[in-house]
Amino acid sequence: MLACQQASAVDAESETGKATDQELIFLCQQGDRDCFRLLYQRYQQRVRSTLYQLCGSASLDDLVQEVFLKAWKGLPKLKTTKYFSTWLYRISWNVATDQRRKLAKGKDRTSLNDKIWDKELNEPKLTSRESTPDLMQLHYQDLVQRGLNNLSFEHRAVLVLHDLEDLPQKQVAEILNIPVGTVKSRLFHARNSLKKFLEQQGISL
Amino acid sequence: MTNLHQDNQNNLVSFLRHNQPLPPNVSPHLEQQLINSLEPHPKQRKLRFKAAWTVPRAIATGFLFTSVSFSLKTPRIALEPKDLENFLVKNWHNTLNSHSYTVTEEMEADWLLPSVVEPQPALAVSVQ
Repeated sequence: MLACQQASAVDAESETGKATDQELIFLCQQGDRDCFRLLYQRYQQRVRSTLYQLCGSASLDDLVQEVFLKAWKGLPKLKTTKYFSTWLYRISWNVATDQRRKLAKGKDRTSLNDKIWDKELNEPKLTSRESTPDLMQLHYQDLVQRGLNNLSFEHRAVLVLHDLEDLPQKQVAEILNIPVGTVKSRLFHARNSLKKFLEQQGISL
Repeated sequence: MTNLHQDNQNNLVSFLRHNQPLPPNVSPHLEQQLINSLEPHPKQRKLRFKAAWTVPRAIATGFLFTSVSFSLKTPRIALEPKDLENFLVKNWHNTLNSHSYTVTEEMEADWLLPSVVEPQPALAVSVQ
């Protein structure tokens, strides 16, 4: 099903005259940087959003850059180019996990940074989507962010990839390298925890 | 019950999607910075390495070939008297020996067996 979706996306791209992902990947494998720029423009928003939900805004640009640098280095070895997006999400997951380990070790994080980190995570930001800030929406965003932070890293990853990034369970399982059954159970627990948290904050769904 | 549960799940997911925290705006220089920091792939590196070494390799090979062929064609000059002596002994010894031997042999043969038998004057005694 996933392959069908990807194939149809590829066909749609071909019809509109845009280079398909597979064409771009093939050229990138030959060392074409301009094609890699196009791939970056296509995927950076998704990568950025995922990393932000998993790691917060601290050194987000560095993490995004690290993901794409790893992708560039690994591209010549990528044989099944139609799974590029899964592969890229997997790199993002690995980078996020590494970052989390670093933070846990306390190498990159001082007590001052802790405060900044928490503050960043707890303060919703005004982005380009919000030209006129809606206070209620800012409040809801804040709640969602806090709710996500209350989840364990593994549960958060499943919820972010499946519910926010809209990826199918099978693809989430491939990205995180876990069975589909584990994805389902983690998703169930993550949703329940988040729902409880939101209800405690006065939101009934 | 299942439908209610499913509805709850859908409500939660749509709420999350609608209110998901958005990442801060991307730095305008990030893209160019990333493209600038891309290193060439190992294949390209190998090709570049090969291309860079092609000319020096060709020059070195040519020089080696020329020097070897030149040294083969040019007669070697003996600088030391010993070398010269060895050279002469090695190259001319057999030739001289064989020639002198032949000459000697011929001379001996000539000496031992005269090839022309000269008519000897008959001893005649005339009684007068």
